[in-house]
Amino acid sequence: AIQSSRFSCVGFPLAYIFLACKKKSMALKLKSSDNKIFEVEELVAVQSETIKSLVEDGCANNVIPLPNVDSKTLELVLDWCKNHVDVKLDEEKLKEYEDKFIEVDLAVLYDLLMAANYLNIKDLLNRASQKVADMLKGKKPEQIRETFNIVNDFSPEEEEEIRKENLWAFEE
Amino acid sequence: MFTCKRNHVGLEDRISQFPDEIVVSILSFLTFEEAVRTSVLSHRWKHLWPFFTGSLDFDDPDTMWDIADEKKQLKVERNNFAKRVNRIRKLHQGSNIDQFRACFEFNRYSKHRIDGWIDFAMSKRVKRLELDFSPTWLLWSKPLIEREFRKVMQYPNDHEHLKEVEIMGFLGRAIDMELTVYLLESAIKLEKIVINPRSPDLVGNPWEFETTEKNEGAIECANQLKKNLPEGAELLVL
Repeated sequence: AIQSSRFSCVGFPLAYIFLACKKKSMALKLKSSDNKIFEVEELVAVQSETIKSLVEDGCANNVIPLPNVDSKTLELVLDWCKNHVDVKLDEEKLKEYEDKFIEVDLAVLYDLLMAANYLNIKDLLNRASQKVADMLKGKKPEQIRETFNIVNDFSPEEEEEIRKENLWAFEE
Repeated sequence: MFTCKRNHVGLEDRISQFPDEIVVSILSFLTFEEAVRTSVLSHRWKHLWPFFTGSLDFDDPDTMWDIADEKKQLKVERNNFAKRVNRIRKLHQGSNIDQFRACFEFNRYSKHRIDGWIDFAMSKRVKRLELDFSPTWLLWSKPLIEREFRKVMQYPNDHEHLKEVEIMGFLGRAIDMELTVYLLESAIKLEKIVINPRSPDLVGNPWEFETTEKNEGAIECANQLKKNLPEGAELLVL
């Protein structure tokens, strides 16, 4: 008796989820923070590890709310995902696309970074990080602060102390 | 949700409000030196560089040339170099690094130091490891490479992360072959292996021709390794 009840407990929901997934495998509905609904192919959306695990847990049957991503950013992110479904397609073309894609204002770049991190899309996070890193490269600390509006909250003495700790990195 | 710090221009400092993992992701695309330099930007940035996961590159060719020109003392500079590497080794907190590269003249009396660096690199699941302890221009110092190579091979579970390996000073002796074959069989993520029978310092000096001739045997041996190559990996013999 124990055996058979265990079977029905485990077996039934599993089969149910399987059927449900199969039925909905074509399209997922994503809801941005400003309540816009995006209908996308599962193959596109699951490049986000966050969405992928929701799908695998069977939690993607209804609309998936993404409260940390606004519609403007989500549109960009989904465009990135669409172009990365089959990365083997054409490496040169893909690179061209990525370079063009990432040519955006700093504010948009920040939004993309936050979204890529939240949605866990590794290649987008890397590409956006690299873009910001390129903006940091070859700049003196004062220039970096200016570019990114970073407020220096060190006293001159404190700053000097930190420089001394890693003097080798600051030598010209 | 956020408290926005504003500077005199009135624009937000959004980058400093990012979660640590995003800032660290950005830092890891810089050189290690550049990443360390961000420590003076503000309190927020001071403690982030130790999580750097890019390339830990310790190379100081300028000092090496100053030593060769007798402008600086080898013993003093070697000690400074080792201190710097050891300090970073202690401070580094990231769980992995892409590359560990240490290039400076060392001899066999520095064994324990070098072992410590290999321990460190392997524990950080390094993907590319480069060690070059030969002097700037002297030819006949005994290379340490065989010892280091053996040491790396002692990590059965860690060198499987290695993606790219360059073996310098490969002479094609039985021991070179044995160690390389072992590496090829166990580094399952290996994408590229470069075998360089010459030490990089020889290139462009008057002895180059002679050495090249001598190394033909080594090149032949290296080419024989092709049959041991894991699928998808590339072998390059220089």
